[in-house]
Amino acid sequence: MKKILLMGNPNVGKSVIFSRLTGVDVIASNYPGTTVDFTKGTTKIGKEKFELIDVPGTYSLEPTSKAENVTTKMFQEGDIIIDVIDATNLERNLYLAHELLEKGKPTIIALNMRDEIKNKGIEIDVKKLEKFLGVPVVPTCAVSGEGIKELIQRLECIKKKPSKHKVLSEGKRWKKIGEIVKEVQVIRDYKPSIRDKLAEITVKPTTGIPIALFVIFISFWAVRLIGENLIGYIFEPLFELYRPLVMGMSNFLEPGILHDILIGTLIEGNIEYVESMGLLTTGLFVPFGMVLPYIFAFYLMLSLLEDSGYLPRLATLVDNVFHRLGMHGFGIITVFLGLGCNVPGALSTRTMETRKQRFISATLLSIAVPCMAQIAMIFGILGTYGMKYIAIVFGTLITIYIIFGLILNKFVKGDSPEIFMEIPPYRMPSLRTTGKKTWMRVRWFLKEAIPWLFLGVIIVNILYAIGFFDVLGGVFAPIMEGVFGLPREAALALMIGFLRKDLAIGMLLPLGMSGMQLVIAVTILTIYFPCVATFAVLVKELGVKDMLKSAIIMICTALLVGGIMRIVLIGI
Amino acid sequence: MISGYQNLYISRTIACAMSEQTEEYLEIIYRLEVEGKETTTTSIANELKLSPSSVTEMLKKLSELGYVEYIPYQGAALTKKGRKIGKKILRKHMIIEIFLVKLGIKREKAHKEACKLEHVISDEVEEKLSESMESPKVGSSRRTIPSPRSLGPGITSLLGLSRNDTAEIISICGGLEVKRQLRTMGIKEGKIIKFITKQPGGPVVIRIDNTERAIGRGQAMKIMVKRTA
Repeated sequence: MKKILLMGNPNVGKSVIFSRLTGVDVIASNYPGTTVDFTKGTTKIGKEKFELIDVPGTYSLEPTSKAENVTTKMFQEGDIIIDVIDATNLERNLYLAHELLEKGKPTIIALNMRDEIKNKGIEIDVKKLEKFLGVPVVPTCAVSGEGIKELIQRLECIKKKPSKHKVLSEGKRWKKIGEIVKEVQVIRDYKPSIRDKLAEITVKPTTGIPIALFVIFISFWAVRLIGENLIGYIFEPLFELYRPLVMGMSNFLEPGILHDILIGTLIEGNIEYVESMGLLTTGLFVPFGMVLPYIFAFYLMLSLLEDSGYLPRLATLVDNVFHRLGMHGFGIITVFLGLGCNVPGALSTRTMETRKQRFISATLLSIAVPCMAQIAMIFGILGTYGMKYIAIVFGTLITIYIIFGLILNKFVKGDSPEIFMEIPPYRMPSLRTTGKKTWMRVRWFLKEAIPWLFLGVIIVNILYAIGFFDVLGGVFAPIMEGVFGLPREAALALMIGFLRKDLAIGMLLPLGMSGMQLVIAVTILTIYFPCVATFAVLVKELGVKDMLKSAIIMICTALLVGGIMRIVLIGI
Repeated sequence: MISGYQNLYISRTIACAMSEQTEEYLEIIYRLEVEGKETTTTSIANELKLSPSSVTEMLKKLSELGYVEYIPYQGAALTKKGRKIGKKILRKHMIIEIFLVKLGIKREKAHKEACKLEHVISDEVEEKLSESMESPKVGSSRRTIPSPRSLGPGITSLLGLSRNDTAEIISICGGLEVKRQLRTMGIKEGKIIKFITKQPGGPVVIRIDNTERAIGRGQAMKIMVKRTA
């Protein structure tokens, strides 16, 4: 199958065009560096099927970083190139275009973001541009889908090679581009719009910091509000309707291993959805009844923050702080993604330039950033004790993030380069894309989480049945009871936490701990080790050696922090 | 035992020497900025013929006094306060140098003398000297003399810009590779930029073409611009 490559500068809308052409949904956001991997899909043009590859954005074909090196390699394999150009930034985008044309592959240009140039008083003579470049130029608006049809139509007729452009030196390239831009582009004066003003006040520290605090507060408040109400008014009532069904099943099944695995243990003759530990009870209730509503609420808010273009501004505001922690402002974006699920969070560390930055951000992510599944369970279980307890957990985690960042910055060798980030314009998030993105992520959660949860439930039942947990509890008693001040059975939860942390938190409930003990247990559960899905990604991203170092840091931190918390919160 | 008088004398000399050194640093950094050169610790050390480590020490002191913004491992950029002094000293230096050359002293010698005298003559003397030579605009080495009123030729690094400034990029300091890379990102000579904000201890935000960009301090320090009206 022939390959079509989608190339272009960062944040020009390649991923949206990719979705349009292939029908494959990919996460696209309004900030550079959303696509960290090559996404592949197929598309039919005329009668022929093509493989379409969404290549991470680059400014030039001459590689400057490892990621860009991969991009240039990828380029060699492409048969047809679709170069996506941001119409609001013609000159800069034409540089890559020119480099691409010099290589002489069949190329078509998508002049994207046509809707935005009108606001900016820019006019581009497409016909003239086409004449200058010698390849088809199709105006598109990926978000609304305008121009995509024409793009496909014209792709059909560019299978022959275009005339190769002469390879120019850098200076001559810029000169030529300057001439082209002068000929094809007219910029009228335009009054700064409200959007531009908003862009400024949200990035200036005096106004930007209060706004940032407000935005973060409102976002989390909304997540809590939406999550809690979905649970209270929809999901819990649904599970109550479902209860007679499982009870019936419980009566039908004889007590035995099948009953234990499907229904779990009855508590005072009834099913306790969190504690029973059956596939059809806890195995469904934890993901759907407790976690899903929060996952939905969180990803809704995250999509809004991403698509509006706010996150890079937040990154700019916190850059100073994150620089002290050995990263730069982009670190906050990894934290936000990690709060949803650590897996995409860990993947996004790739956007950072050096090994040091990636190591620190990935390690801190797995130590101190609980995922939304975990947070939902923390809310669910500690919520009944009061806000104070939840505040201690998050206060501790934030403190750990900062202190360990400061320490790692001192001791991890390597550079941590400064931020150098393009801040995209504000865009009004559309209901359709926000909804679609939220749905994609919720679906992804269900697909990833449920198998692990089911596996977790089955393993718990088997290990209980063979008496393994008594042995495990005995072995870890000195640490659990001696260091953390927790019942020895909490070791089981920590073990299962490697599979699914949400399930593990649920397992703490039957242990009858005090509020403060629960606080310690959920904090340790966050710190001590990432879940298996995150672990796999981290091994891939950091390499085995660095992951090992990272894991040692995690376990030591858990012991240290757990010990300190025990002394402070419970006493010796 | 040191008597009270001696004590006073010693502390006065220290204060004097301190301020002379301060002025020398500010002058050098100002000159580098105006010439569109980078103001890294190394380049300042080269100018002053000192070791980078002692320059680092001094830059830290200057930043405590609020004359420069010191960026660890990178260098320093003048604050408004520091620029004012740096400009004044450079002006005095150039006026004195012209004067001495006119008296028939060799350029090299005149330069050395001016280096000392620039720290001691008052603003009044400088003004009168300048007037007596019909207010020259160009120094003996054909450099423009910063005028006493305007903010000099208005050349500074991105870090030196303030609110609502627009400026033209005149040069980018750094290796060829860095320059090439910056250009592909749209940051190149001749571009008009608008300064938006500077985060305390954090990046500078500018608008270039239609894109806003956050640029770290160290990098911002190396992008030299000229203010436009």
